[in-house]
Amino acid sequence: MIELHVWPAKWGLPSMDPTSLLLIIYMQLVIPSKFTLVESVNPDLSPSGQLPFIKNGKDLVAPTSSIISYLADDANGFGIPTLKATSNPQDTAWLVHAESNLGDLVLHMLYSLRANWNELTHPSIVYQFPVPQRYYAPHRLRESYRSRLESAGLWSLPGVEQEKKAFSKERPPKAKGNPRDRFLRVFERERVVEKARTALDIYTRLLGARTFFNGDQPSLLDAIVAAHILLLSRPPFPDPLLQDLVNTSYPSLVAHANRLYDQTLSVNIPTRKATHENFLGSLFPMIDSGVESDVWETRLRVAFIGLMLGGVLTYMSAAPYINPTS
Amino acid sequence: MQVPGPLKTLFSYFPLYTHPPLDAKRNKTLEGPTIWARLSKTNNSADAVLSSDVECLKWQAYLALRGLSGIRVRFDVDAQGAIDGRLPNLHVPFDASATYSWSADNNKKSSTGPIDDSTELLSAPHIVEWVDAKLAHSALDDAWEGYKDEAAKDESRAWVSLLEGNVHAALLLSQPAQSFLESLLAPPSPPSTSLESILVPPPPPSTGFLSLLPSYSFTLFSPFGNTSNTTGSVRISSATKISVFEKYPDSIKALSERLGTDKWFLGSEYPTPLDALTFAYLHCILQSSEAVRKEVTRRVNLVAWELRVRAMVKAAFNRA
Repeated sequence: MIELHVWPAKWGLPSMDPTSLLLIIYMQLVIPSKFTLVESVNPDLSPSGQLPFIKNGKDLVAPTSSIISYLADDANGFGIPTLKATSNPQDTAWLVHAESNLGDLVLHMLYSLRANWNELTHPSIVYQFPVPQRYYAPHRLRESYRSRLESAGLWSLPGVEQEKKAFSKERPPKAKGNPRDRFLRVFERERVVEKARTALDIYTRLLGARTFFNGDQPSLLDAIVAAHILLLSRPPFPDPLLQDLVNTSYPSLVAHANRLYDQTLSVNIPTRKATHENFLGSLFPMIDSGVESDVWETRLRVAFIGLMLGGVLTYMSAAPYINPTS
Repeated sequence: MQVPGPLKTLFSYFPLYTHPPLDAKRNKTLEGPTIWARLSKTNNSADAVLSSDVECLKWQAYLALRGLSGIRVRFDVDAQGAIDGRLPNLHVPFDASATYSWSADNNKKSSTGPIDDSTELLSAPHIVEWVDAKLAHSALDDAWEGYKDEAAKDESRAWVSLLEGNVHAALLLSQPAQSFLESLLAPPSPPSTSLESILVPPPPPSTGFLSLLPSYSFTLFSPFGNTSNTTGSVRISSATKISVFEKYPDSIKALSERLGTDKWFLGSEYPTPLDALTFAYLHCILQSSEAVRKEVTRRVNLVAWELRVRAMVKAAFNRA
């Protein structure tokens, strides 16, 4: 049985991560109920170092595009053609655009807005980690998304509760600096909403009045858009910046997402939690079994470890001969 | 209070000379708009005008395809001398009559003394405004920004993400990695889009998410400037590399099929920013390693299109 390792389930959805969720929807469309979900928080087991990944017997496949081509490959026991309803060249472009732009919006809501991170995302995930990792792994996860959000201009936005604080404390001498800051903060939030609006408008126009993006059957693009819209509309965000936008102004996209949810996710997919095997091993960094990029790095590493062990052994063997202070 | 005698004699051995202030206006005058770009890696001859860096080249193509000509190119400015440490920059004669969005603040300050304010240096995002002011025509004036219709305009955004995502990732991965020794001694590389911001999902930290050791990213403070290890603090695994190079041929195939035999992308009548971006990527791919180049050389229409646009873009520039 093929196993799909994903980030844990939350908020009525089988996974809290957009890439994992889109893969679950896609696999439900191509091989319904023929796979198990494994909720895991250990991305280091994956060949690409990130969840989701699949395990089929001895094969480990990641990231997403490799998984899709693995499923389409006859030799692996699946003969399912990838769900690309039409052979238009712009479909390839739309898939990339959806994953990057809508993904940026979802990640912004989950990881960048401080109210959401502190009250929703962090508490949801922190207790899934075993004890020592609990204190640093969520922060590392958040930092890994930082570079992408910074280049999209969606990082580090002041949240709702900070604005409320500024309003509640009446301090006239300080208020001179504050109104301008408040104005800038509100302006930044408006900017994010505008960015979201342009992206979501494009998808509304692309969907039009049809049921799915390409004809009558759902395709990979439907899975991607639906996964992101579900993650924007369903979780109970403390700071509903984009959630309100999606739910009020884009009913067609929400209806499309709900349709796909009913078709794929409303059935029960066999799920299990990942066992915490290899606990001590996860404390140490995995060595990539692929090709070492630089032979000098290996040499320096071996030399360092050798010198270290040699020094320790020399010291231990020479210790009886070293005179204590007399 | 007077300086005591012995100290005075001591100081007399170290006299202070004061030189008159330099007059900046006597420097070489700017002859016309000049773009500061990064040097071409393959073509070092005296008449090379096209940069081999995607960012710089895309702006050069944008300027040429918007119809400007006679722009000079300078390759001798290092990235550290540019605004925000990023090339390209455009050095233009100051035009007091034009109202740019950024010059509102500048008008409040009056020039004092030897500061030369007859020219301005623009960073990349401001180039669009400058061109609009110069041609007295903005892209937003056209219906659908110069594309055929609204669907084409939306589609252009999708193509931009494809180019800046899949194709850019393949280009970055195909560049030969600097060896450890070189990365220590080389001058600091300017900030540019790195793989961490392109890949979805982002690559994990170099020691993994769950390990006790924090991910290392060392910066060496050397006399040449700060250097840090080349991949930053993330680990690009071989599985990721394989998937990037798997997606790349599909992207090029889609690009070629969409171009077909059209004159400009998406069937537009006049060149659009998408054409500038596509030309920049195609040109850089054709100059890089065999792994990425062979996909493009297989598509005859892309090669022919790139050749035609290259001639147009080259004609607009000359070496300063």
